[in-house]
Amino acid sequence: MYPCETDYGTVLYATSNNAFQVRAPHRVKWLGRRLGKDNYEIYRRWIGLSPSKVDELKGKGAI
Amino acid sequence: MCDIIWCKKPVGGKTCNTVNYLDPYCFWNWEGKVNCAECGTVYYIHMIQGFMYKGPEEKPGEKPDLSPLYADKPLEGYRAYLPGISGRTRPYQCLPRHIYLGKADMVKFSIRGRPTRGWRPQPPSAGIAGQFPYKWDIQALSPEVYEEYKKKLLSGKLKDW
Amino acid sequence: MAGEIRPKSKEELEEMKAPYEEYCRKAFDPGNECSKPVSLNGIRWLSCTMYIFTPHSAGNLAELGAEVIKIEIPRMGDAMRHTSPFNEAYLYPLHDTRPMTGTGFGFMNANFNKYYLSMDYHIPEMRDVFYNLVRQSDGLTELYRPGTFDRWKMSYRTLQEINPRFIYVWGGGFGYGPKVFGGSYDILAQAHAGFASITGMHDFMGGHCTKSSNWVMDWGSGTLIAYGVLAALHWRRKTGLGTMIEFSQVQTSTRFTEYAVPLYGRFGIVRQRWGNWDTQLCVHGMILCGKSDFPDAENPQDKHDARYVMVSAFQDADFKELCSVIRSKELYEKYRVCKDRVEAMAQVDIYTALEKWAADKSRSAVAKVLTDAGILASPVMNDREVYESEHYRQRGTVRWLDDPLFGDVLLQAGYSAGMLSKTPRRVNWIWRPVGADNLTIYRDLLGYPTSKIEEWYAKAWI
Repeated sequence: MYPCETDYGTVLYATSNNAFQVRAPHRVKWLGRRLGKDNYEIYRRWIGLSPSKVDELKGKGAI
Repeated sequence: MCDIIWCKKPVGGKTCNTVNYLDPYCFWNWEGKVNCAECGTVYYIHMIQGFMYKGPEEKPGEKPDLSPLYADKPLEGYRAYLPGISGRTRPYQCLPRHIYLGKADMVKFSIRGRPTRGWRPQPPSAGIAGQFPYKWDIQALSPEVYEEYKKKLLSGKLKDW
Repeated sequence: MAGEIRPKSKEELEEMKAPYEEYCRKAFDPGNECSKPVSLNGIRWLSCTMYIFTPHSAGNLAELGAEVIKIEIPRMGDAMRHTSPFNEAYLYPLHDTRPMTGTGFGFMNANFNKYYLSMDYHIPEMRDVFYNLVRQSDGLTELYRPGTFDRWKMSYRTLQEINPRFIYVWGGGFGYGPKVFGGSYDILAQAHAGFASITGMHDFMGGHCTKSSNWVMDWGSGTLIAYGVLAALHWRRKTGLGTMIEFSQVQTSTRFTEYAVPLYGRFGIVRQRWGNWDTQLCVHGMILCGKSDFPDAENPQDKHDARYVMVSAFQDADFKELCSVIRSKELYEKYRVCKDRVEAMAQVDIYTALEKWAADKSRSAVAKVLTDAGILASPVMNDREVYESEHYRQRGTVRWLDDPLFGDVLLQAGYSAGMLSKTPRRVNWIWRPVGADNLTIYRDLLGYPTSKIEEWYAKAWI
């Protein structure tokens, strides 16, 4: 068990059994993020929408 | 380099003694009349591959076609006429435009009328360790630009290109 | 030609090209790049680079979809950020703590789509953090003086122990050898290795050796590295092993001297400049016309410079046609065959005659008359004309991007390097401020706690 800093402060969590692996241990970097945190980046990079387009869709309640 | 015109015209009891430089860009293969930058005497020349094929011959009372790029007086401490002196040397056409004077031009709209961002000063990102979001909230950070843009949108004059 | 179907009218031409035209429009579909996958998905590349040459090598990968992390000096950033074409072209801020300092458009085309990390990697305290990045990445480009990264225990010798699949690129001026410590600039490469000596008009024409205005050695070298990296990735897929690429920029200039080297080797002849004309073909050059196309324009580039036309009529039949257009039978009689036309004095004679004919004509008139006569001719266009050209617009070569940070930006570089139908290049953002992705990389990728990151930031280690 480790304490982990998150967006919600430090949280105590149980680590994965697979964390005991020599080369590529499983790991926890964050526990939950606020809704739509990466919207602008992901929509820009993978869908090709500009921030203003994202806002427009947000305004319509689509995303 | 091109040939030059060394003006020997007596002016006021003295020899003019001005070297008029003819730049290859204009004069390399050229026939016409050039003025002396100092005394204004008009010379006819015919230049072939940078060499003075004919001239310089004085043409009193005629108007010059071109002026030299630059002129100086080597025997009088190299007093010089820089390019761009009206009536003496050729206007320097590559002068920077008025906006290129080193003063920051904080445009708020691109040439097609859409808002740009990134003029100064800018507020800090307020992220941790310099982290920036992938969004510049123009409505919150520059409400006046946002309002103007909204007006432009409504006017229907905004072009795509 | 036998068997070739030739269109008999303009309408028929349209009809004949239609299916292929339609196929291409659909296959490449400019503007919808983001609906398609990227070819380098999953490749993570580190970039410890500055200026244009080496950043451009990593920028090429980023345009193709690799996740490129650009590591910059804390607070300062890449020196290229300050090398703007003009003071007012700066976009602000450079950095969170420097709202009054900006980044110029000179920085732009080599740095699309990158993630921006700041790190002072040469201090021992940050070395482990750097190694952690290396463990999770596929490769790195660096540009320091040879041996610098080795001294910092960050050269290929060290990194291949940490990550045997790592591909390491050093890009710089001369590489190892007698001039090992020479730095590099684009102009140095142009000068040092032969390129500038064959560019520009001949002495005989009043010319001097000429530097290309464009940083051609930077852009060219960056592109050459990028395909070196692709080859290394292919090699790694077969063997599981990384490699090191040692890329000397001055060699690009040597590569670009074409036939100069073998010519020298065989005959001892040193290649000379021939400016806007061609040494192998004639007529095949640019000529000056008497009148500008835009005599009333304000911009001198339009007002005075819109006077050049490129003409190509080196085939004997074309040259005959050209001579009949300029009504000079003697010229044709004198230089009937190509062999006679390419002689130096013949070229002087021919181009002088052409310019004399064009002396009372505008650029567009000359281009039109020649094109109508079936001769290849094109006005020498400036940026504005490229922007207004329908051809580039339809192909998406020049286009507008609503950049997430900097708003409306006009750009061309990402879309003028060939189109891929299934995995096109793309530009997602032009650049970001120094350290703009610090949290994403240090916390989300490497897993360092926020408190640690803030501590490093306060100490200016990042």
